[in-house]
Amino acid sequence: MLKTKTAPGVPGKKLGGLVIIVIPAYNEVQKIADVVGELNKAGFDDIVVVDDGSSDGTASVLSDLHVHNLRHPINCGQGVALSTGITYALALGAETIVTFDADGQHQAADVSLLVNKLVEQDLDVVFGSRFLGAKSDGLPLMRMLMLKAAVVITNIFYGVKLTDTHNGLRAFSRQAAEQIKISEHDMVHASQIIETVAARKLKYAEVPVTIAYTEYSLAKGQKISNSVRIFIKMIWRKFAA
Amino acid sequence: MIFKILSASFSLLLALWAFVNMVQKPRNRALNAVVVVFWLTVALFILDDRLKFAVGRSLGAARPTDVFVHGAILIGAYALIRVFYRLGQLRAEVRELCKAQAILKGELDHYKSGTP
Repeated sequence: MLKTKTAPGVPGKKLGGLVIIVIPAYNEVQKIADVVGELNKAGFDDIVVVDDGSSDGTASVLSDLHVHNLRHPINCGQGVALSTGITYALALGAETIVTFDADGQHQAADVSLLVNKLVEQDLDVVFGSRFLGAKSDGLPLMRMLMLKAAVVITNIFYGVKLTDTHNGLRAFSRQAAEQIKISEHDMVHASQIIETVAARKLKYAEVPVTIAYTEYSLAKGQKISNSVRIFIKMIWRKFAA
Repeated sequence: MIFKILSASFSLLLALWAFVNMVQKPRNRALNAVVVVFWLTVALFILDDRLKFAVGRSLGAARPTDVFVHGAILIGAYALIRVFYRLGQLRAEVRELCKAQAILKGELDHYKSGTP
C-alpha cells in the first residue's frame, strides 16, 4: 500500500514525498466511508484512520476500507487520536502529514493546496482557513463569533497571525510533526499545536479552504461551554508551561 | 497564642516549600500551585477565627474550635486534592496506554500485510 507518492494537483512535480492523511474518527459510521472515498478519488491512498473508541459500528466500516485502521479501546479524545495517528504516520515514513476531519466538512481537493503550499514555500506547517476567502456557507452566527473570538485570543496569547485557529485541516512537514507533541486529549490540542508552532518558531502559512456545513457536521462541532473550557485550559497551560 | 503562631508559621513554611518546588519542578507545577494555595488558606484559617468557625460550621462540626476537627478538615482537604490530581494522572496514563496499544496493533497489521 505504501509507496513514495507525489501530491496530486501538480503534474510532474514531486511534492510532499509520502503524504499520509490522518483522520481521527469517533462515531462516524455515517460519513467515514464517504470521506475516505473522496480522498481516494483525489489521489490520496495512504490514509490512517484512528477510531477513537467508537460504539456505532465505525470499526466494522473501517475494516472494509483500504486504510491503516488504528483503534483506541476507549474514547480518549480527538487530541489523543491525532497524536496516535501522527506517531503512526511518522513510523510509516511520512514526509508530509495532513490532518483531516471525519465528519465530511473538509474537501479532499483542499489537501493538495495545503501540501503544495507546504512544499513549494518550504514551510513547516500550513493551516487551512475558512475565513480567507473560500466560501463556507452555512456557518451559524454564534459559531462564527465563537471562532473569531478564539482567533483573537489565540493570536494575542501566542503572538501568531492566523485567521482560523480551530480548523482541523492542517499539513505538517515531517520535521514539524516530530516536534509537535500533542498532550491535550480534547479540543485544546488545536491551541497546543499553535503554541508549539509559536514556541519553536516554525514557519507557517494559511491556505483558504472550504468547509461544508451540514446538520451532521454542526451537531459534531464545539459548544460554547466547551470553548470557555478551552480558554481556561489555555490560561492554565500558559501558567503551567 | 503561641500555638497559633507556631501553626501559622509552619503552614507558611510549607507554602514556601511548595512554591520553591513549583518553580523548580515544571512537571508538577500544577499540583504545587494548588498546594501553595492550600497552605496559604490553612494559614489564613489559623489566623482568622471567624473564617475558621464559618468553615467548621458549614462542614457540620459540633465544636468548630476543636483542634482535631481542624486537623481532620485540613488533612481531608489535602487528601482530596492529592486524589483528584492522581486521578488526572491515571487518566493520562490510560490514554497513553490506549495510544501505544493502537500503534502496536497497527504496526502488527501492517507487518502481517507484508507491505514494506
